[in-house]
Amino acid sequence: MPLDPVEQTSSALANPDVWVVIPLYNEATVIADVVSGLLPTFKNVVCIDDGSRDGSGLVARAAGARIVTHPINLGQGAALQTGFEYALEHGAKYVVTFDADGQHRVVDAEAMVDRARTDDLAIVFGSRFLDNRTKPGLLKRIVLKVAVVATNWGTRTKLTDAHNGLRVIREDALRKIKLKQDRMAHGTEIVQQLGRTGLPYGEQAVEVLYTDYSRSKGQSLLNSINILIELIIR
Amino acid sequence: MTPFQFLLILIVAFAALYALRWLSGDRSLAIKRLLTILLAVGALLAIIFPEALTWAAKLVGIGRGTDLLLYLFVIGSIVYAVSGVRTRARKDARVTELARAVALMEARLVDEQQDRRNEQ
Repeated sequence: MPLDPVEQTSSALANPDVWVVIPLYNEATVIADVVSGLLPTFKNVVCIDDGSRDGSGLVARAAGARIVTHPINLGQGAALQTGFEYALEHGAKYVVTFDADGQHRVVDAEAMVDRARTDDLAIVFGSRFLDNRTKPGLLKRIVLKVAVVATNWGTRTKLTDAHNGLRVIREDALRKIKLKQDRMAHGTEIVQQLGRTGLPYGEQAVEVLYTDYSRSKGQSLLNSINILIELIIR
Repeated sequence: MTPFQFLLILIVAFAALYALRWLSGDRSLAIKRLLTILLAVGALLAIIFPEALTWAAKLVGIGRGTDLLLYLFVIGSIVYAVSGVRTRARKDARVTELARAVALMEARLVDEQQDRRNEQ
């Protein structure tokens, strides 16, 4: 594959064996910044445009990301699965899942990939509850904590934050999972399936940036009720 | 036989024939067809001999044949609704697979073009 000049200069640092997978749905206002923030560290960024109606895909492509476009909206879990298959097709050794709304920090993602490499971990989950940097509201904290308890109870994992979009997944773990729940409960499903692989995993403290933008788009209380019910009834 | 009974028999017969012809599924098809035939025969018997329905209702401790029919109808509706949800979920999964295949194929083409443009 030919490299353009920018890639050649930074390819040694730019994690050529890592693909960042971003499910993208109607985030045209922020996706360009997210992509251009990632590219210096991770040269391979793929956005799964999940049937956006605001031109998000074009914006992301202009910013330098590869784009896979779902012809119809399928949901975030389906977008992640598509991204995994794309990344594997392109020889990814590690995949970073990253949210399109700019709530994750690139330095955290980089630290998680380094951790996966040095500690030989198949999965690194980001957690906003391992330190006190992230400040969710009280209600959000309760919701997320309940979801964590329910997820740990329903899976073989012991995590402090089950619904964090920032994860690093190694190729062998990727090949063992197949997300089937298209809608939001994937946050649970992915943990479930990764737990079932029995591969070594770790958790890493990350900061989630609650901007007004991400707050206005974030998971609602009703959504966590859905997560709970889908966990109990399987 | 009353004219209404005659009408009912016609409807049941047509519906059953139609269902037998257009039911889908591979492994379960034969079972579905058998059930359809059983249901149609039962319906025809109940139409021609309404007393038989009351007799069957008494047998299971229900007062009237019409009540038995109502209960069976309610149960049938619930089963139908639940199986509909399952069918839809399965269809959704297939649509997802198809859409993903299309998306990945398109991405391959676009990537190829982009790489070629970068070469030039």
